[in-house]
Parts: sequence; C-alpha cells; structure tokens
Amino acid sequence: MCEEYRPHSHFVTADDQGLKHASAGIIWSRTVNEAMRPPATWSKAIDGALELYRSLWSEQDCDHNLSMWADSGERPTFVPYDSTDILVGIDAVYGHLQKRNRETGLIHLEWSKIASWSSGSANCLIARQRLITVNRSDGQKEARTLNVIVATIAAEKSMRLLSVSEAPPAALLEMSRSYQRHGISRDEL
Amino acid sequence: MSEMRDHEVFTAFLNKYIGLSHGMRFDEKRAMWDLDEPTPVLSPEEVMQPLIGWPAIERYWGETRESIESLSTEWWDLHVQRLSPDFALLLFKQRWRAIMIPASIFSDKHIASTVRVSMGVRKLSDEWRIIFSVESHVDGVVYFRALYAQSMLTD
Repeated sequence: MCEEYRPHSHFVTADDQGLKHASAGIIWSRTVNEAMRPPATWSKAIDGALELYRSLWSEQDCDHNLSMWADSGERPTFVPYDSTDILVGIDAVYGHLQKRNRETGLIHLEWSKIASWSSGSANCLIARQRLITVNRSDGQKEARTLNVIVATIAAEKSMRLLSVSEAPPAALLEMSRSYQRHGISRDEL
Repeated sequence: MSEMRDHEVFTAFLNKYIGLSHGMRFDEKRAMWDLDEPTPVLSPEEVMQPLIGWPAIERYWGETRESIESLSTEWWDLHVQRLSPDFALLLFKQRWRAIMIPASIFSDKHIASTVRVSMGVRKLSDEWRIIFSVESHVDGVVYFRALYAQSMLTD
C-alpha cells in the first residue's frame, strides 16, 4: 500500500480565488462554542484524539499517517462524508484517505466540542467542525460543517485511531426534491 | 466476550431498538438509553445541530410523531468495535421510509434514505445502554455533483 503513495503539493495554485494563504500552510484554529455545552471532562487525552483526526488531513507522509491508526488486527473503521460506505480495515481506510488527499486540500478547520467519554485507556468524542477545502483539480473551494465521532485506543504507549465517522447535517428537503425530480436515490449513486 | 458473541448480542440489541421505530415507540426507545448519562447525543440525519440532552431529544421525538404518518426502518451491515469491556461503538447501515403528514410538502409519496449510524453503547450491570447515536449520509455537495454528472450523461 505504501509503495503506491505519491507525494503531492498541498494545494492547487488558485491565487485569484483568494487562496494565497493556503500555500503558506494550514490555518488551524480551535473554538469552543459555549452554546454547545463543552463538557467539563474534556481532557488532554480527548484533545489528543481530536489532534489525531486533524492530522489525517495534514499529514501526507504515508508511514506517519498509517501509524496514527490502530493495527490491522483491530480492524479500524472510517465513515467518510464523501462516500456511502462503512470502510473496515486499514487498507480500505487508508486507501480512501489517500484518494481524498490527492483530490482535496485542507484550507481551514475549526471545531466546537460537543461531548466526550473515556473508559480505561479508550477515548471517544463528538465534535462539530467547520471545514473549508479546495478541489485540487479546479481550485474550487468548498465549505461544510461536519459532526465527527473519533474513537481512540492505546497501543504501544501511544494513542491510535480506532474509528472515525463524519456526519454532515442533512439538507433533507433538497435531497427529497432532487429525488422526486430525478428519480434517483442516494443509494444508486 | 468473543467477536462472534459481540455480534450476536448487538444484533439482538439493534433488532429490538430499530424495531421500535415501527409505530414510533419512542418511550420504549428511550428506555434503551443510559438515562444517567449527562450528555446523551442524538443526531438524526435531517437535523442541523446535534440534539444534546433529554429535553432536546424528546422534543425531536415529539415533533417526529406529529409530522410523520408512518415510519419503517431496517438495518444491516453491523460492525462492532470494543473500546473497553464496558464501552463499544456500533456502526451499521439503516434505511428509513416515511410518509409525512403535511402531504403538500412531499406529495404524499414515501420518502426514504439510507444512512450510516455510529452508536456508542455503555454496559451497565448486564445491560447495554445507548449514550449517543449519530446518523451520517453522503455529503450534499458530493451528492449533487454525482447527480449533475449523471444528468450530463443522460442528456
């Protein structure tokens, strides 16, 4: 799998679309929306778990990126916003991330913490994130909000991702109207 | 507990929980949650903000009951991930099918959707209880781009 990895530049050149800042690196911020009731138990470990998630976007190095995930025996999972599948196993998970990073660059990511739970050395959190990305092929920017669930376990004295789920809030009406117009359901895409 | 046993236990758990969607038996659904959890989170696909806490969740269930004439739900493709002996993550696909009461909105046709559910469960004594449930569908931009590509092919 790693042999197939090809490094690429972080962002397309699209200065005329206001993306100059993107080439300087990822703009990174953390916000806490008080209205979302950040839990008092939000710990350093949970921050670490969220940091691991962020790194999926920014770390282009194959070995490093793979080392963030639990061993293949743990069968890590990924529910991506840009797929209809539940990806199971490190090959499927990493294959999708490779494809995403080839096609999409991260410009901006910020989050609001929603809830977290810890049990033993495992951590799980839900966060709401605002994401701005750029399509590498045409320079188009896309902004979206995602609810993200990140679960980590401890392995070899470090924290590893066991599961990541990305959930975009729906536009049900638009989806339903589109279905009625086109007669196509999301399942058929 | 072995992987096979986990799968068996949580299959029964989800059969019961999802089965309660038929007839919108939300009180019974609520009983399968950890009622002592201070931050229960429910995020159905159609809401813009996750519902945090029982007042928000119960308001949503009440509005659902008032706006939907019939609801049926099925599920499949379960993946169980044990985070610890008393904490697990259940991932599965779920398809719901509903007829809305305000027929003017949806022309009294069924609307349906398949989502992926990420559900956190905690073991209390010998019983598993839900602490969060988040539904995930494919992103709207990705969906519409695919629709556009498909319409270009058929035009």
